[in-house]
Amino acid sequence: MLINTVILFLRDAMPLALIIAMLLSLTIKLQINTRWLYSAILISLFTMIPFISYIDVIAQLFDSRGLELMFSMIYGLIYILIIITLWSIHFKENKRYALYCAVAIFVLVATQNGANFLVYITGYWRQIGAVPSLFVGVALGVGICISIGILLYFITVLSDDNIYPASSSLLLLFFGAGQINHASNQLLQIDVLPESQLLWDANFLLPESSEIGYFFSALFGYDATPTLFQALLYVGLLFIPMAVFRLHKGKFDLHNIQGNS
Amino acid sequence: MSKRQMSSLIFFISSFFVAFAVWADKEQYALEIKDHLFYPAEIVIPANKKIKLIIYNRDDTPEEFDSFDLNREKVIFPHKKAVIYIGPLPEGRYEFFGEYNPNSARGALLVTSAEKTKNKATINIAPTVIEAH
Repeated sequence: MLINTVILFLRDAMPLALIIAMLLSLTIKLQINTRWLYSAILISLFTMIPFISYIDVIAQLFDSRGLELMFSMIYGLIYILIIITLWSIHFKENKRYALYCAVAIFVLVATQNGANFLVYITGYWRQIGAVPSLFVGVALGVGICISIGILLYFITVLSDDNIYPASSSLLLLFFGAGQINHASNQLLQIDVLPESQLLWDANFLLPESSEIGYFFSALFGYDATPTLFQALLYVGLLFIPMAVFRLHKGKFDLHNIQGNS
Repeated sequence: MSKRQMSSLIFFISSFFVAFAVWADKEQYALEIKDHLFYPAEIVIPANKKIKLIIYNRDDTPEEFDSFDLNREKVIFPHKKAVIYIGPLPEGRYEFFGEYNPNSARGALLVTSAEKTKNKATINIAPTVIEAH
């Protein structure tokens, strides 16, 4: 149970650790006070409670398709909020929009992934001898997630300053496109999207079940077996905003942002 | 309500029913989770056909149906059912497992040609095919 708890915690908490690192690197660069994170954590706790209380009811809606539909909407909303964040930074040069979006993105990612993990925790904590394993597993998972989050934060900041000024924006856009890939997987599963032929199977190269596979899946929606539709959707939702930002700004970076906070 | 609004409403409702009819028009298979085990542990399904898999969780704890081979992941709450669609798939063996109990809850979908499926279904898994349209 211990190893399983660590694996499940990493699967659900990794996206949260990554999004915190990305949003922090972006907001600190915009000189936004990091207090937004505390508010976001507090709001997430309040949204998670009703969600976890009714999650089994939601799951049974629409002939047991409720959870997939809800998760797809959340994934879609995260992508839209990421686009609004980048738009507000690059077009409006408005820190306030970026700040609100950062809070909303965090709350959505935390609520969805937190609820997933809480289903496991609340389902098994009554089992005899399970509590110590669950606690140790969560503690180990928290340690690993914090380490990866800190590492990503410093890599992003370093890359923004020395390699490519829009690294944090680009990474956030990749994360957003990954959310849409997760949404399409959910919709394929309940037959809302038509299943088409697999484009390739990259499991021999990088198995989705491996540690790096998990990490890439959380970071940019890595899928070892995408369909043609998913690949086109991913590329489209990644490159269209990039092209629009480049066309309007000439460059996709965060230089010379004054902002109205 | 105007005529235009009425026709829009009828169109919306009928689209909804058509969508559900398309959803329903699939061969259905059932799988049970009991004592953290899948019953049956192997299901034979036809190749190149989309099927509807209904998973019943008879345990007091939740379970997550997971399969990297099938690219499917779904939580099934205690004493509830879940529905997922699988395929169309080429012939082969596709493994799945219960993510909360990966050591015990393991199973596989055997995707075979329609002829073989028919033969195997009558011997092993006839009870799992609950409805076919």
